[in-house]
Amino acid sequence: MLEEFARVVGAENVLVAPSQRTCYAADFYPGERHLPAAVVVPRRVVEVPAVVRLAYRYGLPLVPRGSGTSVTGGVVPVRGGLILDLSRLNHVLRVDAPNLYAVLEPGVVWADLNRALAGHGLFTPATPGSGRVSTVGGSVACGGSGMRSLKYGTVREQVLALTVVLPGGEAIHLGSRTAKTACGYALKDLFIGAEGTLGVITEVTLKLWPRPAATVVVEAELEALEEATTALGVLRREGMTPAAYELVPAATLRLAGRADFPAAGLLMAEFDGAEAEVDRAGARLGQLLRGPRWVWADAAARADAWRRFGEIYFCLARLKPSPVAEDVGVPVAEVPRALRLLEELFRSHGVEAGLMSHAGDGTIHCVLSADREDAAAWAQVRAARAALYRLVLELGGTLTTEHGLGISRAPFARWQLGGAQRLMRQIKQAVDPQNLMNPGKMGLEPAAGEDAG
Amino acid sequence: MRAKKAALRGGTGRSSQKQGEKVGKKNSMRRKVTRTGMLEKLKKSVPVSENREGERARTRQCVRCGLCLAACPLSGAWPPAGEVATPRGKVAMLQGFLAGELVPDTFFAAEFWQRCTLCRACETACPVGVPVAELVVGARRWLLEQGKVPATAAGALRSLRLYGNPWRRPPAERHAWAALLGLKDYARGARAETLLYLGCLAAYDPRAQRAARALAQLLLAAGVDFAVLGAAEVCCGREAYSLGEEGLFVWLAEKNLELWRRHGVRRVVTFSPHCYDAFKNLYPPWGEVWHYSDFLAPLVENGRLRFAPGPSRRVAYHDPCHLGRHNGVYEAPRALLRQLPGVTLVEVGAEYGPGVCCEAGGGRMWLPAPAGSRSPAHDLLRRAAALGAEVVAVACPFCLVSLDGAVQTGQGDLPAVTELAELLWGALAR
Ligand SMILES: Cc1cc2nc3c(=O)[nH]c(=O)nc-3n(C[C@H](O)[C@H](O)[C@H](O)COP(=O)(O)OP(=O)(O)OC[C@H]3O[C@@H](n4cnc5c(N)ncnc54)[C@H](O)[C@@H]3O)c2cc1C
Ligand code: SF4
Ligand code: SF4
Repeated sequence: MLEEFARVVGAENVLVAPSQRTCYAADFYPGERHLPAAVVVPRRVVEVPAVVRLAYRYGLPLVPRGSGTSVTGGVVPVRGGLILDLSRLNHVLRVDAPNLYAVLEPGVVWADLNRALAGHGLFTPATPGSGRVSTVGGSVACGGSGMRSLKYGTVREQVLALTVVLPGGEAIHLGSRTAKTACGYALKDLFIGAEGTLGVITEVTLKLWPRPAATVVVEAELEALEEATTALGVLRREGMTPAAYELVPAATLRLAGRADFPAAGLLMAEFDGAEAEVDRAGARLGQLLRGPRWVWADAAARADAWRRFGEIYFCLARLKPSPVAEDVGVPVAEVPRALRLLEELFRSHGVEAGLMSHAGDGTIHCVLSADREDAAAWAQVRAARAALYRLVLELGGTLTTEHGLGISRAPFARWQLGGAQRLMRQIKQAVDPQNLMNPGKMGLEPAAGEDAG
Repeated sequence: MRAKKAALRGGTGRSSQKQGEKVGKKNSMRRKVTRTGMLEKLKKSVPVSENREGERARTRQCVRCGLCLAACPLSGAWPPAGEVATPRGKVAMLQGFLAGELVPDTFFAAEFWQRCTLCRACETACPVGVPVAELVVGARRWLLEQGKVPATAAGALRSLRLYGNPWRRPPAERHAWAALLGLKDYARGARAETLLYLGCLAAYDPRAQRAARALAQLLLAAGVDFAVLGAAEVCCGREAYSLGEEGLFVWLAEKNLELWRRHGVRRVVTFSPHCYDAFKNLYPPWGEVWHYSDFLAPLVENGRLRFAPGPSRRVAYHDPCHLGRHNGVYEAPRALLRQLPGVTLVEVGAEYGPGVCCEAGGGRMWLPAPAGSRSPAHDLLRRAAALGAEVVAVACPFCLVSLDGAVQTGQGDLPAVTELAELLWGALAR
């Protein structure tokens, strides 16, 4: 049977050795490891429909995979079967500068795309934090977003059109390269965020944006977390929406090793646009805050500020061997209160956790220290996560703003989805009647994953 | 004592057993403090077979974030591509093995032997500090113990044991060129506090010899009182270590330490970053160790070496892995190049990525890539060419031989490859 796959993609691109399969057993989420039966690495997009068709014929589960930077267990082959490694389908097919879009294969890495666009004076604001290595297809499949979604929207808002290979092998085109379309159900949006459970994305038409002429970054130490939300309200009313607006409470900075951090929180804001515009916005934010603040305009200084900021995340991630990443969201004005409630929640569950918020869109990233091999501690982490989800739902929030459900949130999805979960299952049943596309994810089957309950 | 024996046992079954005995016998004459120091240092690479839990803990540091994926110069060099060819994949395989879930197969062995130059580009990208290169060395040690070692590497190790160099060349011919140059030679009774340690490539490879000769002449011109070991020099052991033969490495290290002690050496200046790395990071704390670029920089600054006006040239400097990422020496070679009249320094700009490594390090000189693979050396040269560099300067004989070879086999207009010492010697005001 595997010979048939070999005939499609070449024998050297069907990986079956145990050591090779081991490389595909897990992602960032430490909760689950499963070996695939084999890994298929297509060389060309045209091979994908044939692979999907064969998988369906033989009843093999099929897990599409980009760079495997999922943090939710999204690429873990919980039912075995095949991994479809799309990382070699990484060509930028076309950059259409006049119409401001690019046509991409699914395995294009964000950083490579931005390098290709630089020559055209264009960029993609949807680049996620993992964009140095993660793929456009993976972001679209997760309904992800970058730090700059407050101003530019999430990946969902950037996708004009998709080509999707359905279970069974038929390729369909969704959406339109026009700026808008009213033709039929918004099926394109159904596949964005479907996490590979409905089909394989094989082509993405992505909106492009002119590179802003100027950028400034404001770094500020806040006397109170509320300052951030109040200032944001003013900025937005005055038409100065920041591209990025990041908030980290002091306790997290201390956990990350900045024992002497003197204020209540750290704010990082980025404004981009015309030079006069960003200068004005930077100055205005300065006026609105009370504590010490710095404005970085020079490209190297900005990069340095963001690099220092980015390190906080991994100072948290390396506290214990198997950290768990969460990306809950609350309405923006609730962020300061939510940060305090979350700190209290983790403390009461005996779990060390750092919090970093995209305060402009209400996302709160939580990095939970965990050791998967310590059963008691792992149970505590699980309990804390369940309590976390209940709390954010009480605050009118969401379980996940960008990473998706994967395995790790699957058992909790119904808390937010309610009756909508039944409709999701019916759609899954209609598109993938054999349940072979990335099965066991997103709570599409009752009681998926070990976290049930 | 127990730990010492354990470290000495690491290596191939029979041959290293012998090695261990030899070292053991000599050991009675050693000062104990040196031995302990050496072994303390050696704990850096833990033989997988002897400390499985410790090694597994090191693999568990990896959070599988994938940020190393774009860093590895060899990931896309030959099939299969994808996760299996990445640093993260290597850590996963090793972790599986150490947890007892994976029996190493042929693919495992091939990946750990061939697809790593110990360049540490992945470690630069890794946000949590997984010591990938040391993990690879640990895996190689285990493979070697199991006798799963490519014939080419086994041959180099055997030669090191028999001849003190990896190419089966007669020790008597070692650095014959140095005698012709009239360098002071400890073996002929010379005395000097500063040893110019030249290493195996400079001993036998004609291309590397040219550069080493330039370096020796620079030191003479600067009035440095130094001597070489000539035919008595033996390999520093770094590549034996990289190939997982720690027993052999210890044996060679002891030989070197003994020579230095016997000749009253206080200061070692190395030609190759590989020897530099071994002396500085793998040997027990010992005297002064310098790479020549660091040693020359002040000599140029205080005017003991002066340069004459030369043609205007765009020169790209390639950071040798064992000088840059292993030892943080980035500035000294650049400072020297900036002193050369007419030279415009071009940054190749590879923080990491395909152009980051010449492909010859980490024992890869004896682990040829599969036929038809894409060479990172060519990537590097093309990148330099695209930046308008006419010359690629290196400060390492491995880089020199590898990149020079790549110029011969490469296509299109590629920059010339030269050693920093040659450039300096050529530009010296006489
Ligand atoms: C350090 C770090 C920072 C991160 N920062 C962000 C961030 O800022 N914003 C954000 O949104 N996420 C972030 N993430 C999460 C993750 O990187 C993103 O979800 C990313 O988009 C996944 O891309 P990938 O190529 O690695 O996809 P994978 O991990 O390979 O796959 C993710 C999911 O998408 C599916 N999939 C992948 N490709 C396809 C395809 N072509 N067709 C159908 N299904 C497919 C997979 O089956 C899986 O369910 C971060 C992760 C890390 C480790
Ligand atoms: S040390 Fe260099 S060659 Fe080895 S895995 Fe890391 S990046 Fe690749
Ligand atoms: S960068 Fe480090 S932690 Fe991340 S996958 Fe690579 S080795 Fe693991």
